[in-house]
Amino acid sequence: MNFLTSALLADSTIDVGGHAAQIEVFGMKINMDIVWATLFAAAVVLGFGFIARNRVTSGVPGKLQLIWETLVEQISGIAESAIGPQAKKFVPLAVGLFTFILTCNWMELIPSGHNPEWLPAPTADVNLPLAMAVTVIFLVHYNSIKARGVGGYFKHYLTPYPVMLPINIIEEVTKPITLTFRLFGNIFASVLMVSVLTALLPLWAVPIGELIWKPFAMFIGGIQAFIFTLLTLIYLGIGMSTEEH
Amino acid sequence: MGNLAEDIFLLPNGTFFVELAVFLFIVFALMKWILPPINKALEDRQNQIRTSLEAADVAAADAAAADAERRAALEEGRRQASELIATAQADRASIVDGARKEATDAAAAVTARAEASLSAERASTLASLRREVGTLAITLAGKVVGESLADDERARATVDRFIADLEAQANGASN
Repeated sequence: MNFLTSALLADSTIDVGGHAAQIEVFGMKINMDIVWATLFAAAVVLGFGFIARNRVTSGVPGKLQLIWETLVEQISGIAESAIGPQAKKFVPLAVGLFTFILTCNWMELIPSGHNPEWLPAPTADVNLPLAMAVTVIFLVHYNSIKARGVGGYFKHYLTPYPVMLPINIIEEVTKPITLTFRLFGNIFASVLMVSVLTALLPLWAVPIGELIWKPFAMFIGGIQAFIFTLLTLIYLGIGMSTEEH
Repeated sequence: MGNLAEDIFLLPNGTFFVELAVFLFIVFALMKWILPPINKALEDRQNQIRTSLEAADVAAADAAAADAERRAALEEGRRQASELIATAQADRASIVDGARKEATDAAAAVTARAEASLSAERASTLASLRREVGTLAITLAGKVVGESLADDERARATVDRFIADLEAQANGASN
C-alpha cells in the first residue's frame, strides 16, 4: 500500500524550473539548455533573415520576403502611431523582439523530453524576458532623456501633480518587471500545463489534451510576442512624448 | 540552505548576460544586415509603382490632350465645311440670280427689239398704206367724179382725216 502511494506521488510530482545542464562561470550559474535553445532560436530568426536578404528583390517578392515585408510594414505602422515621426529607428528593435519572442515561444511545441527538457522555450526561463525587458526599459529612459532633456525627464515624474511622484516612480519601476513576468509567466505556464496534463490525465487521454492545448499555446505565444512588442513601442512613445498630458 | 536564492527559478542568474548578448546581437544583425535591403526593396517597389502610376497619369493626360486636339480638328473641319457650304449656297444663289437677271434682260431686249421692229414696220406700212390708199382713193374718186383731185390740197387733207378716222376706229375696235 505504502509502495503504491509513493509511486503515485512520484508520478504526480511536477518538477518546475529544472534545467538539463548548468555550468558555473565566475560564480554565476548559467542554464546551458536555455543558452543553446536561445542560440537555436537566434539561428532560426537570423537564418530566415539572411535567406530573405540574399534573395531580396524589388520585383515580385518570394514568400519569405513577403513575410518579412509584411512584418516590417505592420510593425512600422504600429510604431509610427505609437511614437510618431521618430519611429523608424525603433523598427529593427520591434521586428527583432517580435520575431525572436515568437520563435522562442513556439519552441515549446518541439518535443525534447520532460524533466529535463533538452530544447525548452527560452522565454519560459526568466533570464531571456528579463534581458529583453531591461534593454527596452533602458532604451525608453535613454530616449526619454534625449527627447525631453534631463530637466524635462525628471519633471515628468511630477506630472500631472507633484503628489503623483511616488506613483510615477512605482510605474516606471514596475514596467520592466511586468514586461518580464507577463511573457515569462505565460510561456512558463504554457509549458507547465503540458506537464500537468501528462501528470493528471490517463495515458490514453494525454494526446487529446495536448492536441487541444498546443494550438492554444501557439496562440498564446503569438499574442505574447505581439504584446511585448506593442508595449515596447507604447513605452517608447510615452517616454518620448514632449507634449503635456 | 544558503543556496536557496540561486535555485529559485523565478530569479535570474548568469544566463541573463548570455541572453542579453544574444538578443542584442539579433537586433544589431537585423538593423545592420537584414532589414536595410528588405526596406530598400520595399521602397524601390513603392517607387516603381509610383513611377508607373505617374507614367499612367501622363499617358492619360496625353490621351486626353490628343482627344481634345482631335475634337478641335474635327470641329474646325466641320466649321470649314459648313462655311464652304454656306459660300457655295450663296454663290449658287448669286449665280442663279445673275443667270435669271441675264435671261430676263435678254428676253426683255429681244422683246424690245421685236416691238421696235414691229412698230417701225407698222409705221412704214402705215405710211406706205397712207400714201397708196390716198392715191388709190383719189384716183378712184377721180374716176368716179371724173375730175382729177390729185393736186387739190383739201382732197389730201380729207384723205388724211379719213385715214385718221379709220385708225381711230381701228384703235377703238382693238381696245
